[in-house]
Amino acid sequence: MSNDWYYATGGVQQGPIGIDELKARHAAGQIPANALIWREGMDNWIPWNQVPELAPTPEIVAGGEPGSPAPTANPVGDQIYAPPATSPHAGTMGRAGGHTMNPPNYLWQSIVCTLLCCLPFGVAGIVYAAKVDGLAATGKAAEALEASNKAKFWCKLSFGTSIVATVLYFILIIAVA
Amino acid sequence: MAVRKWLVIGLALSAAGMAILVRGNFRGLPPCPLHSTTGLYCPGCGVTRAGRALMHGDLGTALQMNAVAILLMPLMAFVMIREIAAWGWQRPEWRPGTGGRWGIRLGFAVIIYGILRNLPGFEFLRPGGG
Repeated sequence: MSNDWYYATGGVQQGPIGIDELKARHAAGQIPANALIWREGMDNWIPWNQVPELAPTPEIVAGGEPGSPAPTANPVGDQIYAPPATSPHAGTMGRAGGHTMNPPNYLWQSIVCTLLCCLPFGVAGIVYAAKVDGLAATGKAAEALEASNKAKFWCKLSFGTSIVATVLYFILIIAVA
Repeated sequence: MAVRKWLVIGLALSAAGMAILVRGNFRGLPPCPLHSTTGLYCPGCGVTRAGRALMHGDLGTALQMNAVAILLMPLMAFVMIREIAAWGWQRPEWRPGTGGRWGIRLGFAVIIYGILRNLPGFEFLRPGGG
């Protein structure tokens, strides 16, 4: 059994994990029944209860984790990945209905990293981040997800390297002084 | 509470950073790693000095050091605080939006700013005006 399952909750994509772990997290209330599921080979993200390998689920209501978002069908800002036929506004701002969200594009994170981390990695992040919404709007779910993951990677690399460099610098200053 | 713990750590680090900016001199602050290794100016060069000037109430110097970062500071603060709030209170609907077309234009404007800073004739974009 390979770890090739992804799920999206609260606008954040998680995975890859194995199907047993996926079911365990669902049972523990970490994955609501309206979470979107995707694995290699699927054309699109589909709701948990429509995944053949996972249905039927014993409980439909999201788990009662304290402080977790209310288990409404589609809270505003929840990431619902839809093909363009049902998402006329994909890739634009103000998708108030919450039905037409794309994978996180990491655009603002890339911009912040580019400006604050003093490294060129953030630029790669911006380039990939810029692709996410466009790919999602044309129904290229896998490519959009891949661009999203690459943008995330460059953001993390930029942020991490910057933190390490700054810490090393201050250690050096203290060691010299 | 994990949220409260991270909030305390974050605020403590912010306060330490501000103290370093207020009290440190230019030579005591971390240099831009890209500029010190390659001599190139990245889009973020001058941000530390701009932050220091801002902490001393010197907006003019701050703008000379990195005008784009200073002008985008309120926006960056806004999206970061929203992200933290969405995470801390587990409210995904508070997460900053994807930015749309103007967000992408802003991203490329930042990249172009970084390129222009290294070209002759655009020395005024460099930290301190070249």
